[in-house]
Amino acid sequence: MKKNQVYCEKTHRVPRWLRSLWRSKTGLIGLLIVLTVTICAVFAPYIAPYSPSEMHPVDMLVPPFFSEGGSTRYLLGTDNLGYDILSRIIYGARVSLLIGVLSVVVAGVIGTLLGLLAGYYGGILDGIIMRITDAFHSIPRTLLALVAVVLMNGSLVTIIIVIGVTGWITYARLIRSEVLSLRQREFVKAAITIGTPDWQIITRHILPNVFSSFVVVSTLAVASSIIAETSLSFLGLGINPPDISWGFMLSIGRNYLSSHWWVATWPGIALTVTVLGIMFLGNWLRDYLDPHNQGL
Amino acid sequence: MLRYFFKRVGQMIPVLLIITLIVFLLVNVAGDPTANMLPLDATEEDHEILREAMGLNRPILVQYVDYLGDMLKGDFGTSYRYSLPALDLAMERIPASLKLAGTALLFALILAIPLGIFSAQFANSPFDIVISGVSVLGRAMPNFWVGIMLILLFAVKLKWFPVSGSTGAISLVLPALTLAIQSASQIIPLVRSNMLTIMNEDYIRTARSKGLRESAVVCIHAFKNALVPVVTIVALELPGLIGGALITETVFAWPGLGQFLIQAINNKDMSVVQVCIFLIACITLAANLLADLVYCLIDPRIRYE
Amino acid sequence: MSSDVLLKVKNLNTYFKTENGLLQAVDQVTFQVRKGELLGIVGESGCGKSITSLSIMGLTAKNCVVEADSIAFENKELTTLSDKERRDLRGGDMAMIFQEPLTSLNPLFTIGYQLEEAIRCHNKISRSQASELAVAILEKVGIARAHEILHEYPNSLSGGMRQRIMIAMALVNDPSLLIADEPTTALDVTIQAQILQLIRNLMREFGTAVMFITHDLGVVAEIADRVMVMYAGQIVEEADVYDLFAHPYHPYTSGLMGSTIQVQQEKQVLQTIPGTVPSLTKMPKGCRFAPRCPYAAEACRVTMPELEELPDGRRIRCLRWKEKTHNG
Repeated sequence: MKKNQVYCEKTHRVPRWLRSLWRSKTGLIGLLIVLTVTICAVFAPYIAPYSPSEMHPVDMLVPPFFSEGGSTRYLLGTDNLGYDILSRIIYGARVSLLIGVLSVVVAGVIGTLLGLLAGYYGGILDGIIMRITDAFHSIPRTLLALVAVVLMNGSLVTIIIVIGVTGWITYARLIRSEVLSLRQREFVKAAITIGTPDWQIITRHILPNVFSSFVVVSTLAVASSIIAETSLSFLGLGINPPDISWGFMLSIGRNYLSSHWWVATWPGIALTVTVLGIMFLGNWLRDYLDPHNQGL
Repeated sequence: MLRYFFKRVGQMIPVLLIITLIVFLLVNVAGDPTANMLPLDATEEDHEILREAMGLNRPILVQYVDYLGDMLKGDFGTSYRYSLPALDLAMERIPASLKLAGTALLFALILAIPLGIFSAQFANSPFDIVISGVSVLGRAMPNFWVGIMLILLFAVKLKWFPVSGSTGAISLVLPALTLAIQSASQIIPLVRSNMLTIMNEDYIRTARSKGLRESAVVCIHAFKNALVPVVTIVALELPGLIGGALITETVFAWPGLGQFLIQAINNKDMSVVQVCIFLIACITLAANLLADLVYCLIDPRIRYE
Repeated sequence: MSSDVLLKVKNLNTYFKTENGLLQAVDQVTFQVRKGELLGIVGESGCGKSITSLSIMGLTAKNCVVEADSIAFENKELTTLSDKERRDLRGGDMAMIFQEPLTSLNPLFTIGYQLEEAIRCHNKISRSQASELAVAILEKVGIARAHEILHEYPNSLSGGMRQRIMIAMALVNDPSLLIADEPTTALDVTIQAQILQLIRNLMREFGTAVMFITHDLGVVAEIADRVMVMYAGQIVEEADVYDLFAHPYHPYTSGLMGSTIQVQQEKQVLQTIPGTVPSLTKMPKGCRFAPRCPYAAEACRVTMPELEELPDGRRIRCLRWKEKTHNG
């Protein structure tokens, strides 16, 4: 055994979450990405070189600055109507984050409520709710969202609601299984025995313990909501002009693939990087909040 | 085992009913089915007359029961665009979609299972890190963008495959690959973590203590146990595959059920929309049932339940 | 190596790799097993007895580091053998059975498959020949309806049956050494007695030597020829079974014996050894048992006692054993 491998414990001064974040390189990258996207969304008018609705009919389909024919005036090039792609990507972050976060709130509220009811009361209520989740699960989310949006004439609010409503089953299933196992725990049984009213048990004993799973699922749900919205917009059924969405930019780009590769590539990269960042952050959160890891 | 099969089918029936309810409510309550059926200059009165004639002003429950009754007779209404029964039109498109989804699943499994097993065997090696990174990337990229990028690389730049359409087997490759990448990205980490858990099980230690070669330990003992959760994973992946197929079919102009549905949505052809959703849901349920049966075959413990 | 010594282990050290360095689980363990004898290895959970046997078999996990001056088995030096050569020994001349027979058998394969696999791994014979051998060994371990059992899955059998099958799997290739790691701990007491009887009979019939690991002194008293007591990764005492039970020299050994309940005695209070086994990360300097030892002196807390070999064959690791035996 080498001498420098002898066991020795370390003491720390830096707070635990920061240490954990530093150790998990992907978590750090995720946080940075999410921060960047949020800043772009919030401060878009100050960051973007052009206004997103500023057309330059003279400079249509200009390649990115590093390609032949490109210029540093339009770093990522322009699209078929002369819009600067970089600016539109920065503004597109607004829509993605807004829809992503708000729809998760909708899904979270519905899903948590139903999951709680199913898990806590069990019996027929549980059976019914589970059958409904099975039904929703059998219809692909994209499909449901598509149909709903079309029928209800997609405005921003409608899209948020639709994506939220189609995403509740993840929450419901998770919350339900957590509640089921919590109900068997001694402290909940004790509370029931001494006659604590149901709503108190739920709010005081169950919800706080479900919290960390909820946070992790929510983070990843934001990512899938963003992808859902992008898919809708790609099919022309989501965000339409004058609002800007990466999905819509992609649908335009598809028509110009043969000769103008950049119109489709940049929005796709923006989307992938954003989703990656959220996923990394979510994974780090899950590892950090996992009670089994508390000892480290 | 036959009893198990019938039990599962029985469980599916309430689910199917709820699906029909969802579809029905969506179409008849949320939207106005007559919206596109009359010329643009028709007045609100004209729409009202049509609605009355179609029986859309009756109580919801009555309409729903009628709707169910028609469904059981195989009548899903007529496509107002093609003036043909919606069910027949939709059924024509199913083989193409099944071909796509089936090939995609095959590609996905061929990719994901070996990669997952090797990642577990060489955990934390550079190989493992690269594969994990690639599968994370695959989960982050929306599948239509993957499709677009594949078209860009393989159809436009390299010209190995056609850009779209369905001219023979070669045009199946890119769309199937697109879907496969989406699925494989979900399956690889699950296979990997299952294998890691299994390799710590006691029976693996026993297999080694018998003097078996490591390759036999992994490929026979560990692998069969790893298959069990893979079947579950595949079953869970199926709605995603079918949903992804919707968009992929549009990107590649593949003449399947998904593309048909999107066209119908854009045309507001409601009967077709209804029947397509219903069929897709049925296919998903059937696939889940199939996965359950395969599960039963592999794991003798299930048979005793 | 003298002709009746089957296994000779010299200075075996096993470590766990952790984030903060190496943790030592087995410390300078040296011992021998003679042909045909049953060596009982006794100690509390975490004393390193299982890891010792896994290290000898070469079955430790990837995060373990095994070092030894020598592990000699039947005149082969195991530490210098290739992986393939060690694999040939495993399941052949050296076999092992474990504590949990349910989880130790693969639930998705039949008993017949798993038995035949063990046979054909070391013998180039046909499937049908292997099948016959499987039936024969199952009958030898006392399983009736052996032919039917071959087609069953582990989950449909009782714990006692499964442990018999594990024993069959281990003995089918006629090993000279069987390592049994707590084989009866997970079984009912009546089944336990049957399994112990079975092991004894098979030992006599096949001439197999056995290393029997357990925390149960009663079991050791019943079947062992010699006993080795381990504590915190070290051997603290080793003696012939009768000598040990008549006169335990080490305070830990006598503490263990005092903690067992004997029906005939009338004790008012259950005796225990105060304190707990030290954690691997916080090993005491000096004698590892000193914090819990009623005979501990200052010297005990400072100096680590060596494992002394006495003229009658006993080995003892204690600075004050002479005083203890004259007083206790």
